[in-house]
Amino acid sequence: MDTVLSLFPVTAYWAGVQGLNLHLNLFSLILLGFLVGGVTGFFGVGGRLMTSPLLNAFFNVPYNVAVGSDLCQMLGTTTLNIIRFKRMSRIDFKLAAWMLVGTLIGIEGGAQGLELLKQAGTFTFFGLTLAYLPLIMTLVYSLLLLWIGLIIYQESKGPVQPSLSEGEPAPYQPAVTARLQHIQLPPMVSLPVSGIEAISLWVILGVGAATGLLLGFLGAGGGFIRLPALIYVIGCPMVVAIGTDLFESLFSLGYGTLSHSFKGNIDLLLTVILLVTGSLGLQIGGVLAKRFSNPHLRQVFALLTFVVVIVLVVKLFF
Amino acid sequence: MDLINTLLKHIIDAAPLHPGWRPPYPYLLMNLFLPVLLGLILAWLTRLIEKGLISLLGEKH
Repeated sequence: MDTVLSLFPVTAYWAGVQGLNLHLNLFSLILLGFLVGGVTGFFGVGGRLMTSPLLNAFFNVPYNVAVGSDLCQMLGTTTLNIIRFKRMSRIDFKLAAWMLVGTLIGIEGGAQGLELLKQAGTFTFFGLTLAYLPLIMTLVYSLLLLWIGLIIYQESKGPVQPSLSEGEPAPYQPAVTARLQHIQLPPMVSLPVSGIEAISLWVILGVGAATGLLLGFLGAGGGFIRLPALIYVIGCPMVVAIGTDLFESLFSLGYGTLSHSFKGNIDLLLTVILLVTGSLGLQIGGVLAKRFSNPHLRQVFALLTFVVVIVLVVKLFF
Repeated sequence: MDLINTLLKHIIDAAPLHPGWRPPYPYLLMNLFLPVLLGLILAWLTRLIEKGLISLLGEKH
């Protein structure tokens, strides 16, 4: 057991500092990475968000290490996706550059928020001693997972939506995002590659900052927040949104990795295991989805998110 | 084997030792470049797996 722990020195160090009884097991870790990847590949959304809370729930991996290592492994998955989608996407470099400014600010803000929680210590509530870090992280992850679960459950009950075809703008746009897209606060910028005549720079910076904050704080949030934001809030065609998101992610994740490295939050072996098992699971899940997918199966994913939330809440108090 | 041993040594030496600890450069560089390198290898590997699985299961029409 000590030999296994010596392979995860950063995790062991922070577990010691936070008084957590670490029980890492290589086989279970590989299985978890593979399952989370498989779920993401099969259902297509949100599975990655479960990685950090499940690492904490099952193995007692401190949240700061789970988040830092998860963010670091996304550098690898982004590289993989760039190679795989290079022929199917187009990059709006001007949009990517402005988004990057907002994202970097957001990532640093998120990482600093995590740092504050890491040092916040504990408090007593009805005779129960709780640490701020797991409490706040459990709350945030649970709310996000519940939100995703509810959306997917509602979608699975309704009629099947046609998927967006490449190069076309979104046919349906929620009212809130339509209002955001038409904010006329100067400076206005034009994005010819995306076919956008004028959009407030503040909207682009805001989208970047909000998604960056999620990345820095939770180590996830790119796929399920940023891509819809690029399509619905900024108004990018699907094909440009994919390419721009991947291109921008490479730089923002590089910065996020450095930021979390300086804070001692990345355990490289944990990163490597999550990356390799997650990518293989994702691929197999994706192929199985092509073969067996059924819109009503998405209810299983919704149920899964609710189960994870229950596990997180139980873990927090017991 | 030597390369793997060196990598493992750097990984094991990367633990924060005290408050105010500064990360060693090999740790920073490995955190940045190892995932990218693995991503490149996995892109090739997952393509192979995808082809193999599709030929095994057949695509749904």
